[in-house]
Amino acid sequence: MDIIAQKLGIDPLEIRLKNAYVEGDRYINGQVLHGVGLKETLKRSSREIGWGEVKQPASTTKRRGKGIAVILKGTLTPTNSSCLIKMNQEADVTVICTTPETGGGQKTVLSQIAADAIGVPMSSVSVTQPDTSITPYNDAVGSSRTTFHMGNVVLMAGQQVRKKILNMAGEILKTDPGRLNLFEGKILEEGVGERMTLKALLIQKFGPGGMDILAEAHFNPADSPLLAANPGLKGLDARMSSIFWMFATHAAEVEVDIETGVVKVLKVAAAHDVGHAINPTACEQQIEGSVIMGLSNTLFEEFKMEKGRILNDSLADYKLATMLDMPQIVPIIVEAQHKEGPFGAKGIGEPAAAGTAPAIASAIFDAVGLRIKDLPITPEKVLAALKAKEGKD
Amino acid sequence: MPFQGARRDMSEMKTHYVGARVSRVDAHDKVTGNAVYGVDVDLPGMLYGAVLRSPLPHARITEIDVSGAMKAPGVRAVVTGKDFPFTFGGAVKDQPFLAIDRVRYIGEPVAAVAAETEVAAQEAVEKIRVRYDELPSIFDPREAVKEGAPLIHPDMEHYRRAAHDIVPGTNICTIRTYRLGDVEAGFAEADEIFDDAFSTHAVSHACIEPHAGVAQYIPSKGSYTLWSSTDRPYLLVRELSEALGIPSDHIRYIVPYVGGSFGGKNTLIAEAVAVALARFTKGRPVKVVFSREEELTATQVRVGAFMRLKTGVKRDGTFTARRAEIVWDSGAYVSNTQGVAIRGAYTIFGPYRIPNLELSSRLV
Repeated sequence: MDIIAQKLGIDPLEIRLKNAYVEGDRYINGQVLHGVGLKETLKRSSREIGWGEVKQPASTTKRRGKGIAVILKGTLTPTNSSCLIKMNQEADVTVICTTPETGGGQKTVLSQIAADAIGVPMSSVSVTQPDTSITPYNDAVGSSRTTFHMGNVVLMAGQQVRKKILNMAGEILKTDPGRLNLFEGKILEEGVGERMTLKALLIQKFGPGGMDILAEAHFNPADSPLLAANPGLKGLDARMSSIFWMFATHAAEVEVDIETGVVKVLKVAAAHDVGHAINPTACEQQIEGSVIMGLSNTLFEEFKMEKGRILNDSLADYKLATMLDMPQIVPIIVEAQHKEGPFGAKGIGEPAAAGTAPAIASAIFDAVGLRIKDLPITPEKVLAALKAKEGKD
Repeated sequence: MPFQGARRDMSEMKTHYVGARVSRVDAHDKVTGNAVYGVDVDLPGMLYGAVLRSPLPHARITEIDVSGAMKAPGVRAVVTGKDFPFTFGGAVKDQPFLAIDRVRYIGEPVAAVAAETEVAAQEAVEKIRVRYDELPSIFDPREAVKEGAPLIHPDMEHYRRAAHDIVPGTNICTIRTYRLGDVEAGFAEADEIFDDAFSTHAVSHACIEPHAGVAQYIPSKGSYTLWSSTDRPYLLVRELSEALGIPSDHIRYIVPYVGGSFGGKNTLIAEAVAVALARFTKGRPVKVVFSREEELTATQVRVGAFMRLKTGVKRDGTFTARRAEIVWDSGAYVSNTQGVAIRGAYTIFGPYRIPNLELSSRLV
């Protein structure tokens, strides 16, 4: 996009805004797009990086530049998720599901959704360890699918638990369950206030024995009208739709040392359309971690190969970014609510890993006029390109 | 099943935690060191596995002599591909648990040892002698895609696989093409044409926790239990079931905390070796943990690709057409790259309105 913008004399931000998908546009297979926060991500991240601001005067050896890049990612569709929710007589809730905690905060997000779906304190919710002999089927943690798919089944199962509880309460309190609500483990009646605690209800209903409330839910988006695409598509062509699309824009500011070729990333503004942030801090952390990974891949990481042998087979030589390389990272949450996601949520797992490379590459062009089109962007490459450019100019 | 829209009515729901900056529920365990990851799994009677790896990128195995390892102290099992001749793979079952008749990358597991301690296992591995007959190698997917290139999987069309297109007689293990409209007409309409090549490189997922798996075989039932940090236990149950030809209810997968996956822990890696060893240790669990060197050289990577984009635009910046050609580097085995080569390819067009497009994506 940047190459095109430059040749046509159009601002790189403007050319993207001009062509960017909006709600209702069709994807390459004809799927009508829903939940499209792309333009807002373009505007907010470019504003945060100071797009269009007058450039700082260059020093003798350092040049600064800014670049933006846009990310599009779908999720493997359709996939399957299930869960069971068990509430014991002490009102402890166990979400029984097969969702490995890989560090993305899966357990936390599912606990939040379960607590709100049922109406209990989050501290009373726990999520089981995956064990395929016990926990029900879930495809995978991957493809940024957990919040949406597992979130939906936890929401559905939680709502069932809530309904069972309010029906029991209606019976015991001799009230219409429609007038009752469960919030933070307390049963509330419309216009009256707290009637009883959930624990008291369970003891009254089940006696001293020990009983559980159980609920189950399954979800597969295959029949969603959102997936409809061009008619007549066959085979893989018929399976290109995604139940939700994630959009993002990364804006980077870099400083290139023209004597050493070293590129220092000063700032990355990463705006992501997540649908709805179930846990804003967790979203921001996922964005930050992904930007770091992207930066590391772009500037430092490289397998040095010789006839199929990897020569740099230790972390001393396979260079990863460290704390010393960190730019200022500003994660920005944009919410284009998705009508079929839990509380409007979509996903955030993967997209941010993709945007930093092109944003840095474009920022380098803005700084020193070099178009580097292969990764990684090492100081050697930058220096060689600078020399070649000098030779030509 | 019929699509249920009603459950989405959340407008009446009062949210207390959703939308709030709640602390992570696993934070305390992780920060205090109480969290059990795949590498921490410890079971009674557990043995430790070590791997002998191929020093050559492409070769036939002519002889393996394990006698030295079998006599080494603390050794309880020594296994080669001949003892455990199974192949696995999500899309294509092209990858052996242990190399069977040939090796296809430097670092491919050729034999494995289970012993009472990690050190005993490593030392025994060094006593295994293997003879190879080198075969021609290719290291660049752009070379591998050419006609006449040496075939890494000459029998590819006979492998058990999902029904995605391969090109028999070549190294192309996935080909995906797609068209919308007429790109040539689009290019003819354009004011400017752009034609550029880009490439991305393979990178390591570099998870803090290396690949680790513990496997236990129950001889009386012919069943396996695995403890491993993967992001998709059910899919791996299916993969193992298909690879070994045993019913899926004979495989149980337990997943502790995963110390990062990033797409790198989605197939049988450490588990493959652990399972092959566990088969021969009479019910004792076998733990396999990769070193960082093994992590970097002999697991999965985020694959690199060579791309060419030809775009037609009008003076005002709107698109008329875009053609994309991608060659992905799958390495020696397809592993989980097929999905990437298919779905990763689609988004090369970007989230932009383009009336005519053409895609050719080949995984090599």
